Amino acid sequence: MKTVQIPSGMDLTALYRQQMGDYPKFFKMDTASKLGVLLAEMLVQDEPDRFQPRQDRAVLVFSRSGSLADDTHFAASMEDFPSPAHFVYTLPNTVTGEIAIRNKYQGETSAFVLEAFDPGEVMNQIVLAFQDKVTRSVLALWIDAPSDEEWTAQGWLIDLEELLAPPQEHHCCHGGGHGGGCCGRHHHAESEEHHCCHHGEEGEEHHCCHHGEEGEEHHCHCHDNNKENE
Amino acid sequence: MHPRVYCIGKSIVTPLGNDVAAVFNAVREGRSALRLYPQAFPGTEPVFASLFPLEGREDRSLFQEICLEAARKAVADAGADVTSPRTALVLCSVKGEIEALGRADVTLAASARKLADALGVVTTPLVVSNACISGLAGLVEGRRLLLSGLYDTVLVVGAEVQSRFIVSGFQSLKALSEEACKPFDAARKGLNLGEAAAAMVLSTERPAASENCFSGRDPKNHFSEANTNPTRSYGVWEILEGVIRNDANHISGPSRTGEGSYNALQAVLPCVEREELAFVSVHGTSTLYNDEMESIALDRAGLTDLPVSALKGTFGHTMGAAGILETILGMAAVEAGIALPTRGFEHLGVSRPIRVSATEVPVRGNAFVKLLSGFGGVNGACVFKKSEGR
Repeated sequence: MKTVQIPSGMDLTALYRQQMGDYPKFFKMDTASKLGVLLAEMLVQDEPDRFQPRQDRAVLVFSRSGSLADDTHFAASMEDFPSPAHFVYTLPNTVTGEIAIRNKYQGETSAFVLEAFDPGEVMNQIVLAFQDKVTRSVLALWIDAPSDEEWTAQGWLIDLEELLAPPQEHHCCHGGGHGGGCCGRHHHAESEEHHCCHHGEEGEEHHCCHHGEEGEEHHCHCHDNNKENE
Repeated sequence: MHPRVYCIGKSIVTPLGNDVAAVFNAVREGRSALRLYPQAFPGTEPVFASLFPLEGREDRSLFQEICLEAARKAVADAGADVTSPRTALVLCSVKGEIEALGRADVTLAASARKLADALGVVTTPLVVSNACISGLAGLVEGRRLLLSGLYDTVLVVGAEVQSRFIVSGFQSLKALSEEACKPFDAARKGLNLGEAAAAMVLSTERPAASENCFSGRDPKNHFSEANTNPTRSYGVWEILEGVIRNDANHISGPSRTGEGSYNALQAVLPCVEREELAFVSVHGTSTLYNDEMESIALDRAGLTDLPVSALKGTFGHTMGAAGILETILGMAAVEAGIALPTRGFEHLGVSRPIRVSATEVPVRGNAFVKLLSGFGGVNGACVFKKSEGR
């Protein structure tokens, strides 16, 4: 399992230039979609044949506030001239569509709204998504952007093989939830201490990208290309 | 043995009525609640839509009311106990209570929590918001929750109310027809918006075969009065398969090749024998591109010989409710041995030779495909089958 984060308030244009740079559609997206496309980019950009159309990867997006930031922009435009450019982003699943288009993912895409960040439920839904026999890997994203300035954004990429592998000492679904089966062990050769879905107390040691003020010195454990980030 | 997922309770709440059998008959007779509203909501242009009464909406949440009514009726229909820790609630909607933006917590999670509390559901509710396939995606999710063994019962509620927000948005996209929509017709000019709620109770526990899934407990809910064949027996409905596929093409327009719908059909069709399929209940929004795309997907999937029904000409596009509402009426149609008429359709206006049912047609078969598409390039397909006997 790979995992990445984009800290709240980060300059997304700078991150785009560093991680992508070749996808001008990015600039028309709302904040949630920018975060989603960037998280996906950071998770999959090293994969071979990555722009070959494929159905075997599902994209699941979770949030609390859905498309609230863009809802507010569209509602403001209604007073003057309703903006179709804003309206198309007023759906919680638009971000899944943007990720699918960028990466040519023709498999399942789903958007869920949760009451709060719940890694157990995210893991539960990842496990459920594998009931689709075509799905061999899942890109799962927690993207909660109630405004354009503040968000939480975290992504996970997990293969079915990891899920099926016999559980070792490192388990991923500490988040609890419904106990819908464990995703198995993760494969981070360089960071054995790194728990996947832990968020909170014990998860502090694991940060990808920058994480706020104190995070400048953290190297991403799961993405080499983030080095120039520092 | 692989567990099976049954529909053990259902309900609909629509501007055309709230009784499945009565609404089913209204659809057969070509009735609709679609009409022109000069100003449905403050600040909106005239809109042709199927809406609940507009009076007094400011003081209450119509969304909560219709969700609750649909949920309670489905639960009563199933005779289920939803207060068990083995019961899940899945809410399906695109915009929920967006009309209260700026005045209240309009997140779908907040709506789901209110609904769960009102119903006495003790597990954390889940919201599926997958654009216009949300209802069908909720049934896929419910099926998965049951197959995983995490729950015994899943209540899936799909609902949409219209608002200045949604109407203005679709008008800004120039997607709305100023008259009654005409799915698949040569003269179609866009979609009509609609309001509805619909709910299903799903379970891995098979109801007794003598009971109609549509209500073994309430004989007047049977479709016997509408049945073309009064001796036809009632069965138990099962969700055989359901998948979601993305076009990976455009966030607000369908694929020109019907890629996602075709792939979704390809994934679900192997679960059923072709001669078992009675018809395809399609999305059929009446926009130029959607209906053309669906004709291509159906053609590519080899389904041009099956009757095709679309219900948007009756209910408008009910968004989060559509997948469940149209599925329930599809079940009723199979039980009556017909494919429902596609209200508004006269002359085929798509490039592929699909068999859109302008009028009710008799059909054989005890199963049907439900197909939906939505913004974000998302497409869903499910196969529902009625099994008879034990």
